[in-house]
Amino acid sequence: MDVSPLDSCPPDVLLQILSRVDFETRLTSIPLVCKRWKGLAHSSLWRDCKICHRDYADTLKYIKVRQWLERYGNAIRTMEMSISTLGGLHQAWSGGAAILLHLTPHLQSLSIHDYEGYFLAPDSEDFAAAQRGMRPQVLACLTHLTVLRHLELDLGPFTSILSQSRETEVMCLLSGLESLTIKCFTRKPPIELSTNFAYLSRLTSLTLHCTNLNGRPHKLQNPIPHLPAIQHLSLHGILAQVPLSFGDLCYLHSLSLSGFHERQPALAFPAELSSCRCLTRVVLAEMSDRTVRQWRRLCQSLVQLPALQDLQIRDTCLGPLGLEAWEFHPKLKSLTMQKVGLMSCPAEISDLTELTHLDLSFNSIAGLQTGPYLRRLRTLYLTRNPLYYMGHLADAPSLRHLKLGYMPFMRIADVAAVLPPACRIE
Amino acid sequence: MAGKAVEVKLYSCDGEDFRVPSTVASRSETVKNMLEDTGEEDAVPLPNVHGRTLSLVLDFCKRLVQYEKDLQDITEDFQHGQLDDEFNAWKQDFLDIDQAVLYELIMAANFLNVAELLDLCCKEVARLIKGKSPEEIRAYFHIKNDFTPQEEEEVRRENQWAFE
Repeated sequence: MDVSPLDSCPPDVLLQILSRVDFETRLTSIPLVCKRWKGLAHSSLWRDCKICHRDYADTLKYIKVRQWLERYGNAIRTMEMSISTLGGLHQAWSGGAAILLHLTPHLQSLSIHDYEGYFLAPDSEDFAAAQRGMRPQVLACLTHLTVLRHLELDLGPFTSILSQSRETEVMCLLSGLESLTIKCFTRKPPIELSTNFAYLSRLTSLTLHCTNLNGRPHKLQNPIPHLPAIQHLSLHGILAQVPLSFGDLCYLHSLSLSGFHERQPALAFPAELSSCRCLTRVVLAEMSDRTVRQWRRLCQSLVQLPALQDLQIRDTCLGPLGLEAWEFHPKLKSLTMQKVGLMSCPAEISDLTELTHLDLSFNSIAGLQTGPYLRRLRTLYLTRNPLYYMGHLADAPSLRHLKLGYMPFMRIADVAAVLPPACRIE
Repeated sequence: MAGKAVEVKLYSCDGEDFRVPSTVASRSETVKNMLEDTGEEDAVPLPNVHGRTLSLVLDFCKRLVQYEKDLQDITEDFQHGQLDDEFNAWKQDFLDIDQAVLYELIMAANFLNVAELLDLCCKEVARLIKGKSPEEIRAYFHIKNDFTPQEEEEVRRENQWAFE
C-alpha cells in the first residue's frame, strides 16, 4: 500500500482539513480512522460548532448532544445555536439550550437564533404559550461565559432578555463584550437595557432591533449612555426618549437609525455630532413625521460631519417639506434615497462631484438633473420611477451599471443609445 | 493609477521561473515577506514548490486578485452575487485535478501561506471525507489502521453513544 498523502501532511494542515468535515462524520468516523486522527479529534477539532434545534429536540438526540458537549465542550470557542419557540419558548430555552451552554465555558463567540419565533402569529396558541409569564432571562444563563467577546441574540417573543436578577454577574458578562447584537420583539419596552449599557465600555459594535409585538417601536425612558469605544451603532425601534448623546463618540464609523417612535422628539442631531471624526456612513430609515418636520436642521447637522461619505435615507415619506430642504455633504461618494417620495431629482445633487453611487429607486422621478455629479458616477439605480427623459446620461462616461426596471414611458434602447458602451443595464 | 505593475520573478524547485505582477505574488504571505526583505528586483527561490504546482497556485492568485479588483469596482452590493457565482464556477473547474495534485496544492498553499487557496483545497478534501465510515476513509486515503483490535474496540466503545 502506498503512503497516504494525508499521513505525511503536518498536523496543523490535517486539522484544517478535518475541521471542515461535517458534524456527523467528525463525531462518528474520524476518531476511529487511526491514532493520529483520534488524537486530533480529542483536542482541537471542536473549536467552532453549530447546533440546530432539531439536533437536540427529542430526548434521545438531546442526550447525544449533551454527551458530546461533555466530551468536547471545553474546546469549543465559537458556537452558533438555534432554538425554537414552537411548543413554548420556556422549554426550548431552560429545557435545553441553557443547560447545554453550561458545558461550553470557554466560548468566545456565541450566536443564538430563533428562526421559528418570527413566524408565530400573535394570536396563536404557541405565541400565547411563549408569552405567558415566562421570563427566560437569557443573559442570566450566560454569566458563566467569562471570556465571551461576541454575542448575538436573534430571538422571538421574549418578554425580557435582561432581568434585574443576578444583575452584577450580568454586568460582568456585558462588560467583557466587544460586539453585541440583540434582535427581539417584546411586550414591554426592555427598559433594563439602557441602564445596563453603562457597563459596555469595550463595545465596538452594537445592534439593537427591539420592537413591541406589532413591530412598533418602544419608547424608552433612559438615554443610551456613553459608549466610549463604539464603531458601529445600529438601532431599530428603540430610540430613547431623551435624544442620544453623541458627545465623544470619536471612533464611531457607521450609524444606522430606523423605526422611529412617533412621539420621539425630533431627531436633532446635536452640535457635538461634528466631533464624530470617523463617521463615514449614516443610514436613516422609517423616520417619524416629527423628525421629518425638522428635516432642514437634520440636513444641516449631517453636512457638518467631517468624514461623511455614504448617506442612506429609506422608507420615509418626506413629503413637500423635505423636498425644499435638501442640503448635501459635498464629499459624499454614495447617496441612497429609496422610497422617500421624491417628485423630482433634487437640484442640490449636481454639486456632488465625488459621487460614484446614486440610488433613487422607488420614487416619482421623471428624469435626472444635469450637472458635474454625473462625471464620476459608476452605478445608478432608478428602479420603479416613471422616467421620461434620460438624455443627461451622455455626461456620465464612467457609468458601469444602470438599474431601470419597468419604465412605462421610455424604451430601453433610447436610454442605451446615450450610455457609454461598458455600461450594463438591468 | 494606471502605472505599469511591477513584475517579480519566482523560481520553483525544478528551476522553472515565473514572472508575475507583484500584486499576484503578494497573495502568498511567504513571498510577500521575502519581497519586503530583499526588494522586488531579486528573483525569489521557492525550494519547496514544484513548477507545475506553483503554476496552479499562481493561476489561483491571479483569479483571486481579479475577483477582488472586480469587487472593488462595484460600489454597492448589486453585483456581489454574480461575481461570487463566477468565481465559484471557476473554482469548481480549478479543482478538477488529480488527488495527488490536490495534496501537493495543499502543501504548497500551506508553505506559501495563501489562506484562500488552503481553505478551498481543505474544503475539497473534507468533502471527500464527508459521510464515509472509518473503513471507507482508510481505504480511500490509503491510511494504515494502527489500532490493535483491542484498542479499536475500546475507541468504538468510547464513541458508542454517538452511533445510537
